[in-house]
Amino acid sequence: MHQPKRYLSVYILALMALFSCKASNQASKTDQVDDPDGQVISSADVIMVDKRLKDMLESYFDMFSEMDQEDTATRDAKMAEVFEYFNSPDTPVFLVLYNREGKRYYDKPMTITDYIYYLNDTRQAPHTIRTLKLDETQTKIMRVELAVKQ
Amino acid sequence: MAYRILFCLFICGLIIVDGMPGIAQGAGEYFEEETMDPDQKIKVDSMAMEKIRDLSKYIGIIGNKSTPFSEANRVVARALELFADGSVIGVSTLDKKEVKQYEIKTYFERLMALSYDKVKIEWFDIQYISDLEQTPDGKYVGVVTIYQKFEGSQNDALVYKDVTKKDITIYVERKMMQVEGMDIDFWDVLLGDIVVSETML
Repeated sequence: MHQPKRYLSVYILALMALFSCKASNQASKTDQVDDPDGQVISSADVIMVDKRLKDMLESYFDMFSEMDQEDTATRDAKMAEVFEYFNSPDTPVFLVLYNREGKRYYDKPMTITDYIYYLNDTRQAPHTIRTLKLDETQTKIMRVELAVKQ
Repeated sequence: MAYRILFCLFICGLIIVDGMPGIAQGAGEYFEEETMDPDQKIKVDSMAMEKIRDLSKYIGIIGNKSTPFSEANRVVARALELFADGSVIGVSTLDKKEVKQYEIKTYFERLMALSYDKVKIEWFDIQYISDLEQTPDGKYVGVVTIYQKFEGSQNDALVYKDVTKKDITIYVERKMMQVEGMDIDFWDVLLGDIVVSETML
């Protein structure tokens, strides 16, 4: 008489255990975002960083940080060159401060234009690219995520 | 019997989740408390300090007579973004006891208009004198002290110089914004009043 109820209880417990395992697995996948090289990204909508694109952009970032601040014509020309890789000069740039329980906490977001001015004004390039989100055609950058260089 | 055990487990689970530290419930939604663990606080401290260093570089550019006018204006706009509304800055000179207070924008405009051929401004010994501490409204407040070296030259001759010790209040607040449909949780750093605490040669 009580047999079906017992089976039902075991079934529910098994489901709970399965759900718990899945949640734990999910958490460990999210932790991959902590990869210091920024090469392994498991977020649903972020595309893995193209190493060549990353290196090229980082070399541009270094260049802006070292560029003569009074030579604004050259800086502006180089900015126009870099913008070719972006969806727009207002493409958002996020700096990750830390991860907590798989959730990322950022510095105040800025645009790629403001970020390049920041590099040039402060004469430093203290960040590394973690992720780049490309558009549907895979040609233009729609979002940049940075982390502080270790 | 099994149902009763499951029901008890379910209720216990609800109690544990409801009582978990760091989670507060309100208006049908869960809001995470704006607290940081020590490692996270170090990162936010360091970010706030970086904003002060950025400001020191912006001030150097704004004050530099070689900076084109349009560039100086762009940097002023950038520097103003670092400040909370209504913030003021104290300005002192060696020959006057009085410390004048200016709104930040007015201060930058005056800095651009200084009647020297050459102006050199450097900040050094930047450090927290009061660590970021959480206030009852959830924000963090701290104070950073800096030393500013000012040199004004005319016809290649140094005509005025001083070193000023200044205290800068920093406010750090957790905010949320949506960018392209994505919720971005970020720490916003805003600078408050800059107070002169000492002026020396």
